[in-house]
Amino acid sequence: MAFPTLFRSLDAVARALPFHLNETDKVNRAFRRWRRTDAAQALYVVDLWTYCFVRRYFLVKFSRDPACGGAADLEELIEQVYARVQEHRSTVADTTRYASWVSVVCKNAFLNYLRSLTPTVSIDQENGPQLRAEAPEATLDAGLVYEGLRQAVARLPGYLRQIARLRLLEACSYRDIERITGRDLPTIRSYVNRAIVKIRSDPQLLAFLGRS
Amino acid sequence: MEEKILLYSALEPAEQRDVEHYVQAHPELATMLEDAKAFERLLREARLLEADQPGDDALAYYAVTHRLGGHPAPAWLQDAFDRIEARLQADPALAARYEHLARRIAELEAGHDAVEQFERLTGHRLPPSAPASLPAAAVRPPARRPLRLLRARRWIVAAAVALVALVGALWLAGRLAVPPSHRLAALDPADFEAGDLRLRSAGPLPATPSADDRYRQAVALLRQARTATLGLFPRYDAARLAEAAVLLEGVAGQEAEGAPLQLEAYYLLGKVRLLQQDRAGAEAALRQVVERADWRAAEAAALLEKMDALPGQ
Repeated sequence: MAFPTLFRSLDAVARALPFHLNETDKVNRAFRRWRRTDAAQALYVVDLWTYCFVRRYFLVKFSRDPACGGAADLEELIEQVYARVQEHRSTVADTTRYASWVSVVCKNAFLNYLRSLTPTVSIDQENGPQLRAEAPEATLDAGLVYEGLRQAVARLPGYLRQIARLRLLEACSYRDIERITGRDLPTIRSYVNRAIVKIRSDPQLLAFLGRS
Repeated sequence: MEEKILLYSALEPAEQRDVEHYVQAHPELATMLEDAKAFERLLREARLLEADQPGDDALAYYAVTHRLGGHPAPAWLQDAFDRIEARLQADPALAARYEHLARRIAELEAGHDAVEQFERLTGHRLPPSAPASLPAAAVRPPARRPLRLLRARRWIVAAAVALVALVGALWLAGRLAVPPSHRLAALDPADFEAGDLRLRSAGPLPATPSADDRYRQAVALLRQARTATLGLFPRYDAARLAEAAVLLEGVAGQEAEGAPLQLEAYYLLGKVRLLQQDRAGAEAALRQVVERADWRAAEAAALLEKMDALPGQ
């Protein structure tokens, strides 16, 4: 009655990866090894992962955003972004967060692409001011950010973790958290506040924001 | 207020609006608020795969990733995908939306060779791989039941392979457990067709059995003498072998020298002696057949040659 979906093109490359595309700790390790030792095998793994990640990122974005162009735009964007990553990755400061860095490169490139598509509207035929339509938004790789936040919550002190997960990951209301945990509202708010203060300085999440 | 800005993500919507109004009047705090909002957006992005109602981002992500590369997804991601699958099963409108996205992805991928692009961009050469077993076509979302059924099928196939391997091993063990002389003397239906004689099930011997009667009785006993459990570990009943041997010797004594039935009896007797691991007796019986150079002579000679190759007993 229902059939799985398989995309032969990306899948053919992803099969050469020795791990799942979302196992970013492994590509981060490979990247560190490459930067340290210039090992050919490490570079091969990094290149495989990078290509697959970039391709998947833009496949997802192009499929869900009707403003995007067709396959030709997609292929060109993939090539541009891959070339940019290849050119600048030797300058990545934090070699433990290569995957996050690539995700930010993809996001910024997609944002620039969307801006290039955004039409301008003239309110006057002659010499009128140009109004740009509402600024587009680009997001990071959904799985990467999800994993990043999960790990950031897991790094919190034990007494904060459950409430942080309920509020920050599952977006539960304070009332729901009160019901689930049995704690009073002031305590819950206090815990959420502490969790946010800690998570806002989490290196992984800062990397997603392009900050160190 | 600065603390409130810092904790913007923790605020209820009404509180967030209050903060925004305050910052509008105090633009020196705008950068701090922008930072806080960026963090708030990051949290929203992180929740895309957790949402009760998956949006297009989550659906498209799932469509591309859930079967990608042949490696199992990390547990945390598979949990998210399981939730999405459950939602797709429960919500036909969501399933239709998923189909649309999957179709769009397939259109984007069609006609573009990712392998060629990768090799051109990186200079690496990918190993040749088996073609994907499923077409790159956008179709309906997967059902939870087939996924479980697929896992069950894997177990069934593994169990079947294990069973075949076990039976094979038992068969081999059974074969190795059989003495070489038994393998040589293995009786088959052709052994029981005595020339023009048409064998029928033998009833009790008459008071004065003829050679034919004795022969038929011996054949009946030999048919019954062999047992094997599920075709494995064949054995011959010693008592029946012994009784059949006596009958065959009687046949050989009753019949005229060189008569087909006598030679047939000697030939079978040779095999029975082998099954009894009486090599000397087997040779004596078979040489009677070989020396006549007539009925069953070729088979008897071949059997004697193979017996010569057996390890000494």
